[in-house]
Amino acid sequence: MLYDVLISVLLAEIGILGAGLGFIFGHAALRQVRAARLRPDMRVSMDILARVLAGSPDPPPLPRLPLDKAIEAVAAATRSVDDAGRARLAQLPAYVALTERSVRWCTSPRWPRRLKGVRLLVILGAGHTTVPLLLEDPRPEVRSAAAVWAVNHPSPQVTTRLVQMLGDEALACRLTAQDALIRMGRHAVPAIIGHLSEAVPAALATALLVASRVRDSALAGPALEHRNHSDPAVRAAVAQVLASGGGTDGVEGLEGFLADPAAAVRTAAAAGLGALGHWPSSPLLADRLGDPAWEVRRAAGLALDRLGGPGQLYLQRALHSPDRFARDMAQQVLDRAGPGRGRPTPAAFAMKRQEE
Amino acid sequence: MIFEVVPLVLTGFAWAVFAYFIVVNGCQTALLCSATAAMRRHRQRVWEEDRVGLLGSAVTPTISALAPAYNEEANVAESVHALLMLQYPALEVVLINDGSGDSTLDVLIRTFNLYPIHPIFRNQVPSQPIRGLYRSRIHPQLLVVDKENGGKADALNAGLNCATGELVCAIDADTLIEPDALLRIVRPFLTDENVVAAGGTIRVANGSKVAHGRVLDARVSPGLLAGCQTVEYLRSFLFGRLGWNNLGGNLIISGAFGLFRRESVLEVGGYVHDTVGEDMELIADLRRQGQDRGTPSRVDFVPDPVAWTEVPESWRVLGRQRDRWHRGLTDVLCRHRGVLFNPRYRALGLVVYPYYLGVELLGPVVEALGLIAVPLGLMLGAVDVTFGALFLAVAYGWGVLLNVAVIALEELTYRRYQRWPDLLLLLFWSVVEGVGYRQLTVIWRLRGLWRYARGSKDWGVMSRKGLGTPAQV
Repeated sequence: MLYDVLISVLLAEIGILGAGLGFIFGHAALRQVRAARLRPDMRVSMDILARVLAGSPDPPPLPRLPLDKAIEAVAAATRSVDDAGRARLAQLPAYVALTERSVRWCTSPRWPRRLKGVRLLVILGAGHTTVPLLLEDPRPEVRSAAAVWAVNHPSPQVTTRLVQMLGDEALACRLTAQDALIRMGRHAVPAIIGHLSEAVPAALATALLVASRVRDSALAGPALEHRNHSDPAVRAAVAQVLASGGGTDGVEGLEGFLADPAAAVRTAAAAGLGALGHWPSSPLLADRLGDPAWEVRRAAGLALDRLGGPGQLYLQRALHSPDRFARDMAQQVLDRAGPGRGRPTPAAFAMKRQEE
Repeated sequence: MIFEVVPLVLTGFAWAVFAYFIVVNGCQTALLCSATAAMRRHRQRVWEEDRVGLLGSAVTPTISALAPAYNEEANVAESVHALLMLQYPALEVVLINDGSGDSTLDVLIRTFNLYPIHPIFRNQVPSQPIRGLYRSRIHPQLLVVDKENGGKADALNAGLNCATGELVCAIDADTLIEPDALLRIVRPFLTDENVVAAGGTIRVANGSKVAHGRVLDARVSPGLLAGCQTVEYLRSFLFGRLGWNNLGGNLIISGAFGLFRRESVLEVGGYVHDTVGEDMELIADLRRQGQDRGTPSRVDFVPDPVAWTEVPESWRVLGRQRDRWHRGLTDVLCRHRGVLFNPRYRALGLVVYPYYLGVELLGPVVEALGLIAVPLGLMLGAVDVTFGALFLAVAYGWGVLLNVAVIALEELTYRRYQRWPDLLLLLFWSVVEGVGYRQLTVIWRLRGLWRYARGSKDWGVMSRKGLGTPAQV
């Protein structure tokens, strides 16, 4: 009985092995033959696409290529073209066929196919009616891909949906939405203002962080509405928005945040004042050199350093402070060498570890 | 009496080996199936993904590449250049000069125009004292940490203290990383909050054309040892690691190329000094403590980011390497024995740990006993000759089958070896690997077990030929 089993297994192994070897050799051979056969057509296609992009009138039709090669050729041509070039490509029958196919894929019940459809539409720069609907897709992969597409198609509906997506349950969608909104820049501002003005905005801290990266002064006002929010992460994000926008209100807000009970908020405020170069805040920043939190002390020290003369003066004064933490941080910042500074003396370069 | 008992024992043992063989190969086949499914899903997800867009993204996590260097004056400049050329939008390269006795630091200062900076950092994990920090005027993203000598784990800990990235990438001494590998390996961290570590594929660079820290033309080595290891690495990464993604997560990420969430690594206390398997120990710690605390603990393997390594081509060096790997594995499994069959750790305790214990750790013991008992049983007539021969043929055939399946998977997916001679050579080594080479690794691993039992914790000297002008950081 056992012999029979072993012999059967052995025979099965030999059979599978033969099939496996056949597959490997067959696949490799077919791949090479196919590549050799399609190489001239690919070259001709690339040449025609280049002529189309250069504005050549009546270009010859593209050679008939298998789908993967057609995608490869069109993708290579469209990756770095402007709208005019894309419009010229869009008149090619092969381009239209690919667009139609990807739109069809976008409605497939299978998510990998929908994903493929969106990714192809990102390359083709088409799908104005199809892709916005996929921002609501049940699969995060598809939603995320649709958000990538949205970067180059910033309509009010799309930006509003992207702002909502900042609170998506899937990390990939949240990150892609953040990235898309930041890349959109001023196009995203109305949607972010609308979101910040809501009674209870979702993913508020993330929305504020996006606002801080968009760097538009119009965002400071709506952000300041949340200065007393119970979540320190939100208040810290408000500080970052204020630091990115500047202005009198922004500086006042940041100075107020230096007294916040949360270390993260004080850190963001100190860093913000340093980034704004607001030297009249030097005394307040110097006070923070003795802060109980290391991050705040460090941010205050570096901010004073960035303020130039006035800040350096306060750092020098802090060297004689009765607070040893303030003294130590001031010493570290003043000893910090940089491309614009001289080489520190060996004594100044001696290690001072911050044990916490 | 003894003549009656011995055959009975041998027969029983032969059956036990037979049963073990079925379990082990069943596990391997399950891993292969799981890896095939995972590969298919992975390729669907990354099809035409916009990695170039990632380069300009403001939300990608910052990565600090930690590269320890010890007496590397000859290659360190070129290695750092190769690291600085990696494609990633927010990359900091942290080179740790681990108390080199040669002029490694002077070479770096000269080549990269380094200036000393005041070391403002938190000493969160233990390491030997840091003598100084330097930043480059030419490449501001390059930070050089000069410290007292303390070994690789200690150097990585110093790097962890000084690095500022959200993620840290540990890079081994003899590893050549492909330019887009970081853009690929970061993917799990962009899609899953629960991921604390991700590993990429390590491939064998021996025989390939290498220049300026890059593999320009991938070839299969014609040398016996390097060739067998090429197949072994393919099997180990393409299905051994990938398969675990769906079956409970990985317990190993190669120390040569892995990406970790820095905060999580600091929480578990960084790299452990008193083990030779510090990379595996870190993963086990991350998974175990993560599950204990209910914090992120997933460890993923990503098949497409590739790092190339030079494998040993001398029997002695290879033996030392395998001996050390097995001591490391034994040490880690002993340290975390509380995980075994503990339902609190779910897949880690019920599937992953038992597999590593039963198959990876004890495999060489059972294989060695089998290699002794089966011929002995044949000689004493306790095991039927036909049965023994058939069994050996089936066992060998199954091994070859798994190798060929991996090569088929490679042909279907990444096709790094484009030439016919390389494909033929790869198939040849996949057939040869099971005769002699694998049995030798059993002996080396047994030696590792023996030396672990005797308390040996030395690394041994790992001399290599060198790969063109490789990154020997």
